[in-house]
Amino acid sequence: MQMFFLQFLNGLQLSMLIFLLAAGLTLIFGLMDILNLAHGAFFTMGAYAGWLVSRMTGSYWAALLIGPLVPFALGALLQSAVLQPLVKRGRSTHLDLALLTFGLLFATAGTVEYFFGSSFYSIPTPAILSGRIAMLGIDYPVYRLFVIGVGLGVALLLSLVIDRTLIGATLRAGVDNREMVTALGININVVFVIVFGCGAALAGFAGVIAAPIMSVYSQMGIGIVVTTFVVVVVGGLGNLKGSFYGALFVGMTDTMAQAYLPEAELFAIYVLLVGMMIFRPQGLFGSTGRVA
Amino acid sequence: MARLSVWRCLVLCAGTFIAVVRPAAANDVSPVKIGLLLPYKGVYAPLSDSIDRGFQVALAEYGGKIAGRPVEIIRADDELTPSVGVQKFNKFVQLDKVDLVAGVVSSSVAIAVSELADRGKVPMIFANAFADEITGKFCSPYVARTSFSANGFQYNSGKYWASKGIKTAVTMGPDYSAGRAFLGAFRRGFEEGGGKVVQEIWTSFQKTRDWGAALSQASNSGAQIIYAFYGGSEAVQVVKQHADFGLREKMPLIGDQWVYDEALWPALGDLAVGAKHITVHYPDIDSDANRKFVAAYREMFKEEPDVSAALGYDNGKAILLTFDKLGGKMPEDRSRFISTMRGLNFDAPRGKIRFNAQSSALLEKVYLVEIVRGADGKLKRKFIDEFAGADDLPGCTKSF
Repeated sequence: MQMFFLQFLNGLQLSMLIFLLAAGLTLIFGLMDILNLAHGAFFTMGAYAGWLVSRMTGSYWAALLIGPLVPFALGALLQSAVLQPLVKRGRSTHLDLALLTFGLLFATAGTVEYFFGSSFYSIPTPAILSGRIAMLGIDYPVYRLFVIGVGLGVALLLSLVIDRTLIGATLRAGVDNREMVTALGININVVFVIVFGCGAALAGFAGVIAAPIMSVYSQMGIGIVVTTFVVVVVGGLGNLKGSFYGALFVGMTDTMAQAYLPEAELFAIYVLLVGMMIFRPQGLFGSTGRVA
Repeated sequence: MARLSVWRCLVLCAGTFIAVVRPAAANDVSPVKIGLLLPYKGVYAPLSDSIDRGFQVALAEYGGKIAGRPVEIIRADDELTPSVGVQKFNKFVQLDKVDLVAGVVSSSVAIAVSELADRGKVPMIFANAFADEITGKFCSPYVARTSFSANGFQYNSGKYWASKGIKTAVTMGPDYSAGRAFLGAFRRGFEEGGGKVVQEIWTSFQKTRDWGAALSQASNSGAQIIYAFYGGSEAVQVVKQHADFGLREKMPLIGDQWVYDEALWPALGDLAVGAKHITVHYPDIDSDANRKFVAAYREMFKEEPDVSAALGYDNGKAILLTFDKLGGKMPEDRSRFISTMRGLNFDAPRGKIRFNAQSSALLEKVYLVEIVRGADGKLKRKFIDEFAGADDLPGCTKSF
């Protein structure tokens, strides 16, 4: 039982980390219909920016606050300088954008490697979050509990912003009917840039959060983007609530498979994905109309 | 008189002509061409750079020449992919007309190109490629390996830990051929020595995001140590999360040179200090051959050589020593190059290198070291103990 509880916490921790990435990805897809494969690149950039800040200031909290600004700026730039002009020229089918952002993902890893080398770095865990807490008969690392808390906090915050604020209302309207929002006098392009930037910032934030556990290296964003995509598809494309539960599904499946059925770890989440595609292609919470 | 002088001139001129041509014919100055096949880009780029640099140190020792012939190194990137390795190997042989091919990190690339070497009768001298099968099931009279086999490295490590009072261990490693080969060898040695591997944990290679599940399992098993085989980002994550779960005192994570590679030290910070691991080489080995190598490496590249650099040096040195013995010429029957190499016995930085009957180098010593903080504040390795490497696994059915 204790063992199960321990694995449950491990699963929850992984789920929350993936959720931070999936949230940004699903927002961008939901609003702009962009399959942003470069999401992993923002994860990497956030981690490196955070690492630089933590090395200069010695503070984890400064890294957590300032780190995501770099992916925010670059994300906003990518949307306004590259993706929007493409839309104008009519080169923005799913395939065009997938290819473009897929290239960006690898180009970023290469660029990061050029500037920082292929060594491994780390952001030290802050003193207050190091160590372990004893509860229900197990010792659990404080930092992992912190990751769980942050994930839940971000989920709550995002759902409040989207459900209860004017910005959220604009966003939801944009997802449902873009032309109508434009007709109402809202500059949708500005909204797009901000949402893209925020999505990228969320990925960067996840990068800093992951750094003390995963360490920082040039290829860190490439593998995780696949897992994130599984989450977004399982949860329903463009659906925030879906991403949250999708992340829980995928994180738990991955951890429990590793713990109790290690032979299945490699493909467990893909079985989940395939099953979902067959029986509920719109995802857990996706609207029935859309088949992505 | 005039006629005579013309004759004399002709004779003299012819004499001079012959004098010029003769030494050239006897003393071939065309370059020796060596193809160096390494995964220069991607995850193993740092490793490839080290091997390449070690190779250059060996070459510099000979002044870049062997028996008067300049040595030309032609590089190609195998991208860690067997099909690309095959393509580059063919390019070396057909286009560049190399005398032999050296390098190769991945065992799967190695198995693919060793078949080409065997069919094309081109000597192939591996610098890494630790899979037991390479000089076992896939052995060839045209293939040699200057590093070591998985069994040679890990079998006696298992025996060693069993003899040091460790009765139970959990092994943990990535679920692919190298992980299975190294940890399998450890297990055989450990259980032969009276220990018991209570659990084998295999994590999916380069797919695992979080090690909490695996480490919780290990912790639950109640074994005395975790014996791990990981490299790169996976090694950093395992070592860090192992410490996060408070297992450092309860169940130490023991591994090899790759788990605690110096490239990972910046990310590990203080976690590296006090870690014990086995290795085939470290810069402070107390021998003339090693001091000479380390000094030359520092001089050329302004940094400390890592294990891969030492293996690259061994690769280059073995090739050059063999050429030296053959008077700088590739024999007509090119398997003679490999059989000559097989007869070598030389002092390398890691200890004496000699080869077994399948042309695979053996480890004279495996070192147990501890990472400590030196007086200058930098991390370094401290010698604790040493033991001999094991023999390779049998499996070669050819005779040569």
